[in-house]
Amino acid sequence: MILLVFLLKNYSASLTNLAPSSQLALPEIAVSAKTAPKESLTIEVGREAVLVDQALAVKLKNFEFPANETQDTMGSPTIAQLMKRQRELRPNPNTESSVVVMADQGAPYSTIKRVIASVAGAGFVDLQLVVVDPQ
Amino acid sequence: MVDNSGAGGSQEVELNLAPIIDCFTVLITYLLVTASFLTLTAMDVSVSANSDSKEAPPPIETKHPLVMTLDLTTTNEIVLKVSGGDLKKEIDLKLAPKANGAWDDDSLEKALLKITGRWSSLSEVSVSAAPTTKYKELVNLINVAQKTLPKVYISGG
Repeated sequence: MILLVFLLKNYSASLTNLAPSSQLALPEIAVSAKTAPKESLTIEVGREAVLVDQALAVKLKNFEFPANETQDTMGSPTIAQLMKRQRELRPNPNTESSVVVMADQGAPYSTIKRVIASVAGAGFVDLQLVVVDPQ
Repeated sequence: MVDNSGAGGSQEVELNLAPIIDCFTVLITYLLVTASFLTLTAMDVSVSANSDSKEAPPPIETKHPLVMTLDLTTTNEIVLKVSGGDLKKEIDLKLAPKANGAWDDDSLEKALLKITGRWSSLSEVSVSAAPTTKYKELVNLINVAQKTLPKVYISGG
């Protein structure tokens, strides 16, 4: 019975249903300004792929974008296109600007920057960087 | 439990616990499988205007806004720059890495407190980093910056 109560409490405490991939090692940081991740579009940057709303967007090779995705000096054309489509699908496309970013702790800034540029290009300028709270 | 429906006799009825235990077993298994034992939190940042965001709303600008940038270099140096406002000359502050080569986040926190103490109108910082900077290091330093300056912009371009 104690176990059941604990599990039910734990279940209700998780406000959002964020489920990072098992291969993704999120950074573990004691955040000073804690915010619960919102229920919005998620971008996942892993070692092998970038996922948009849990669907494969671009395959990576050890965090590196393939050559056809690096022709644009800033963003990735595929991610930018997917994000634009996602923006059109939003109930309020003109006001919706937040996106949840879950990136592997080992991802280099060059990869993160390209993803951010693609996301911002579609008007998603408010990012929520998800980290693990060590408690 | 006492049954009085009979002709004067009483009959004890035992509660059948087996189906209840079955339900609880299934429920506990389901909760164990779906429970998340990691506590995820989020850090709010915005994308700075120097990215290729064509549709992003333009930033609100005053005449000469006081701006601060935080740059993370390949040599693990933190470069802080304050410009604009009534400053005649840009202020440039370099924070060397710790003896073990790690980012000096303690010095960053102190420097940010000093800067915001001097220019109280400063409330935001724009962060950029060298291409090789690891995401964990970046979010860690953003977290340090957010202790003093809640509004952090990240460079996407």
